[in-house]
Parts: sequence; C-alpha cells; structure tokens
Amino acid sequence: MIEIKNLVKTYNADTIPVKALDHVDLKIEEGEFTAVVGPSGCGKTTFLNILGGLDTPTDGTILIDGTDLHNRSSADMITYRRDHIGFVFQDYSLMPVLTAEENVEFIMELQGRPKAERAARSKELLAAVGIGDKGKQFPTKLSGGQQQRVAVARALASKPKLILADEPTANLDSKSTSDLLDIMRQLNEKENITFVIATHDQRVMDRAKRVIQFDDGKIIDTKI
Amino acid sequence: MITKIAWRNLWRNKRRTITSISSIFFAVILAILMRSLQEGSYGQMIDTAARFYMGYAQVHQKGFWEDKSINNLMTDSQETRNKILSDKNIKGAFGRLETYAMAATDTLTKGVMIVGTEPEGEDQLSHLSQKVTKGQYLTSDSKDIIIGEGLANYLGITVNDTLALLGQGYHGASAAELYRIQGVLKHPNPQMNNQVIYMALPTVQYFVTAPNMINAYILDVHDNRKVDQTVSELKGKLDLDNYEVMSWSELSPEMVTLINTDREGGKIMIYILYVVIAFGIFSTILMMTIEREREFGILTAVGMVRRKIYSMLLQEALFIGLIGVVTSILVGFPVLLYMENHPILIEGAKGEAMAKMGMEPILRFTASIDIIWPQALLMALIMIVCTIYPIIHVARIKTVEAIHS
Repeated sequence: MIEIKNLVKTYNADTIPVKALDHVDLKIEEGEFTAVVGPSGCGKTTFLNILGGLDTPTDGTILIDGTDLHNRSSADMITYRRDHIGFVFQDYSLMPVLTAEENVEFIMELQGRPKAERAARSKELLAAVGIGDKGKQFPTKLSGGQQQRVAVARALASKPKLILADEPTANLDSKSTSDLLDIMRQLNEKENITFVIATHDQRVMDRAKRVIQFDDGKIIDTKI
Repeated sequence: MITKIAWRNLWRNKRRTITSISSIFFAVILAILMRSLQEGSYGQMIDTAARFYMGYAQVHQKGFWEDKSINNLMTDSQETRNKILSDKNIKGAFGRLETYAMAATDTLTKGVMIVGTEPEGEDQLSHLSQKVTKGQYLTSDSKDIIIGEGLANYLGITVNDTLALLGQGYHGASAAELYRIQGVLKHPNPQMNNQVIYMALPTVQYFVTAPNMINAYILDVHDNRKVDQTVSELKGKLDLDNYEVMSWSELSPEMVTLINTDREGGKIMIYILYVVIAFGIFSTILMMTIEREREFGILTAVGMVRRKIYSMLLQEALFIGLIGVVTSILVGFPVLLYMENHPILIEGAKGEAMAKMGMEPILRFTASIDIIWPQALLMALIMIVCTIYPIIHVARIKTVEAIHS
C-alpha cells in the first residue's frame, strides 16, 4: 500500500516559489488502477515523478508498504526503482539500438538475472502484450502502439508491484490506445500490479478504477 | 549488454563516428611514418658512423678507452676471437692497431694517423676498397700503404711514391720506416681523408715493434638494433678483468645525445598533432553525450546505475580509438615494411651532397613494433582523458530534468 502524507513540492523556493504539489494526502491500495487527471501544469507529472523516486518532495512523505520511499541515497534509489517500479513514458523512450526483446531483457540484465531467464521472460512478456512476433525488431521498425507495448513489457520485466505511466496513450491512435488499455487492465487484474497513470485521455479515465483529479497542485476530486 | 549498446551507439551517427575514426587513423599513420623515418635516419646515422670507421662495438684491453696509448695494447688471441665470433649477432671481428706518426716527403711533413688493419675485415665493414681512387687496395701481407686523398694532395705524392714515417713504438721503441704508396683512397670523413694511412696489421705491428699486438677488435653485427644485447652477452663471455667491451653508443656518446635530442623534438611534434586530434575527439564525445542527456535520464529512471553509463561512454570512446588505431596499424605496418625494404632514393644535388659527405643518399624507414605500440597506448590514453569531462557531465545530470528536457 502507498500512503502519501502532506506532500509538498515547491519550485524556485529561493525566488518566486511555485507550488507544484500543495499538501497532497492520498492512499493507493495494492492492485489499484488509478488515473491521475487534470489540466496541464496541475501537478500530475510532478506527483508521478515524486511517487517514482525521480524527484524529491519539498515536504511530506511517501510510505510504500510502511517504508519511507525517499529515505535512501541517490544510488539506492536507482536500484529501488529498478527492482520495484516500472515506468511507461509518453514517447515510449526505448533504447533505439536494442531490439524489442533486448529492451525488455536490459532491465533484467541490470538486475543481474541469468541470460536464459532473461530471454524466456522477455519472450513471455512480449507475447503477453501481443507482439511476440516483433521481438527481433528495432524500435524504429515498430509503430507507436507497438513501441508502447514494448515499453509496458519493459516496465514489467523486473516484476514490479507498481507501474507509473505518464500520458502513455498521448501518441497513440484509438485502436492502439484501446489495445494498450486492455493489456494494462489485464495485467492489473491478473498480476495484481498497481497502475498509476497520469493522463488527459478520457478513454483511460473510463477504464480506471479510480480517477484522481488535480488542480493547482491539490487533489480536488476523487471518483471511484 | 553494456558493451553491445556501446558498440551499436557508435553507429547511430555513422558519419560522425567514421570522421572521428578517420582522424585517429590519419594521425596514427602520420605519427608512425614520422617516427619510422626518424628511427630509420638514426639507424642510418649509426650505420654510417659504424661503417666509416668505428664499428658497432669494440673490444679493448681494459682501460684502453681511458688511456689511448701505444703502450696500452693487447695480444691478438685466437681464443678471444673465437669467443667474440661465437655470438650469433656478430657478423665479423677484426683487429686494428692505431698509432700516430710524422709523415715526411723531401719537402713537407704532416702528423698522420696510422691504422693497421686486416684488409678483408675492414673492407667487409666499411667497403674501404671501393673508396680507393688510385692504385690498389691492401692485402693481408701488403708491406706498402694506402693514404687518404687529402693527405696525398697536401704532401704532393701519389701511387708508387715513397713516404717516410717517424713515430713512437711500443714501450718507448722508436718507429721509423720508408713505405711505398700502393693506393690512394677518398675517405668519406674529411678529417680522416686528410690524415689517414692504412697498413696491413702485421706491417704496422712491425713498425711499432709490437708483434701480434692490437688495440681493438672491431665488431660488425647482423642486427644493429641488438648491439646492446650483444655487448651485454660478450661481457658475459670475456674476462672483464682484462677486456672492456663497448657499443657504438659508448664509443660515441655525442651521437647518442644528438639522436636523443632529435628524437624528443620529433616526439613533441607528434604530441602537438595528437593534441589537435584530441580536441576533435573530445568535441565528438561531448556531443555524443550532450545529445543523449534525455536517454541517460531514462536509463537512470529505469534503474541503470551511473557507473554503468560511465562504463558505456568509456567503451564507446575506446571503440573509436581501437578501430582507428587497429586500422592504422593494419595499413601502416605493411607500408613501413615496404618502406624499410624500399628506402626513398634522394636524387640530384642533395643526393650528391650527401654522398660527398659519405652518407648514403637515401631516406630509410624502420618497421618496428616499438614505434607502433606507444602510438596505440597514447591514443588509448587520449580517449580516456577525452571521456573524463563527458562522464562528469553525466554525473551532474538530474534524472527528472533530463527526462523532461
């Protein structure tokens, strides 16, 4: 379970302070499929960055299974992210020099897992996201939807309990969006993986179990 | 996989990578050729000096080099010769007895250097017979002499004339004799040309009353790059209480200084070339780093520790250096081997001037691994140094800012 307490993030604290997050309190249960929505600049991405340990809060704490997420050194935080959090970015952010399979395997290699295990899991994950036949393709040879599926498979490679996705459908057409959401929902239900998705996309909101609305760095509404 | 990524990253911008590799390739080729020509010219200088007169090494009675006196001679022994000739790198060894005397005709006198030698051995080393311009070269039993052209001109004598020599013999004996001139030679060393007289060894031994005595064994070698090793081995074979063994570098330390000074000058030129190349490489690596800031942000976000990113950058740089160096060696070494066997002939007035000075009118190259490996090492070092700042740059990247850059 994720417990967010009194989370504050202020930019330019020394000059003209801008509060990106303003005393946010929230609990996210294990296995939730949550959409974080709101207008541009409302704090969605900042919230995701801090939740993923990419950025540090100005104040407040995030407890994941009772442990303070940010009470770690920078190096420890990198390995924590590697082992416990999966990321899906708007522009897929795959390694262009690696094939789809290698992109998925890469995370497992960072974890030091054996080659055979990496290869098997990579194939299994790509099959699970519906592009089992595209493993040997480089990202430039894949469509946007296919690349985003590889990104989801990569996010799943380390067997994380939490996946954070920042506008994952923003560059996808309707069909690809629908397919991607089906895959994510399936994984959420089968594997009990927690998804937190920052989005503007109504189709994502429609498929989410919970929709949290941000404005001016505050949670203004929560719908289940 | 880091190595695989580093390798593939090189080819994301093929043109830039090939340009960088090419700059290394041409820099190393140029450096190798420069060094090869430099070392070749030193080899030629040493050969010329050795073949003029000195030999590649000499064996004397212990203390002779410090006190070059007619009284400081040694017995010419077959046993010592056998020990010297047993070394694989020794091509030949012959005895010499040098002394000084006054040469006189009926009207003129001049101080001369008398070299008693074994004509065959001397000819093998310095091709002395080819320098005879009038008359005949010596034979081992010649009672007559050959003299330098400058000396002949000064004294106004020529072949078949008689020359009186007056000097000091062994242990205070007087040395005086009349000799017929059987040949005149043009010695490549102008100083020698103006004062040298060559005799067969037994003739000069008789002149100074020192039968079977010599002051040096002059050594010729197969491979002049192994002279130091040969000298060291000879020192192990000969009784150093009685003998001293000296290489050309000990016999002519001023030439060593000249070579070392020139060598350092050449190296400085190469370092300047490398500094220019290093700036080009540095800007390439820095560009490769800066344009991938976001990618590095993503990599740290998904769990790649920075140490591995540094390793990736270093490997990319080393790959560029390695390809540049290996291709330059693959192309350069056969060129050096060819040039070593086919030196450049200097024609025209310059060539003639060199020949007059007794130097072969050629540009000689040396193909040696000792020329190549320092270039490879230096290039690896440059690549590492050029990666330091880009690594510092990556270390300063803030993940969240890089991702959203």
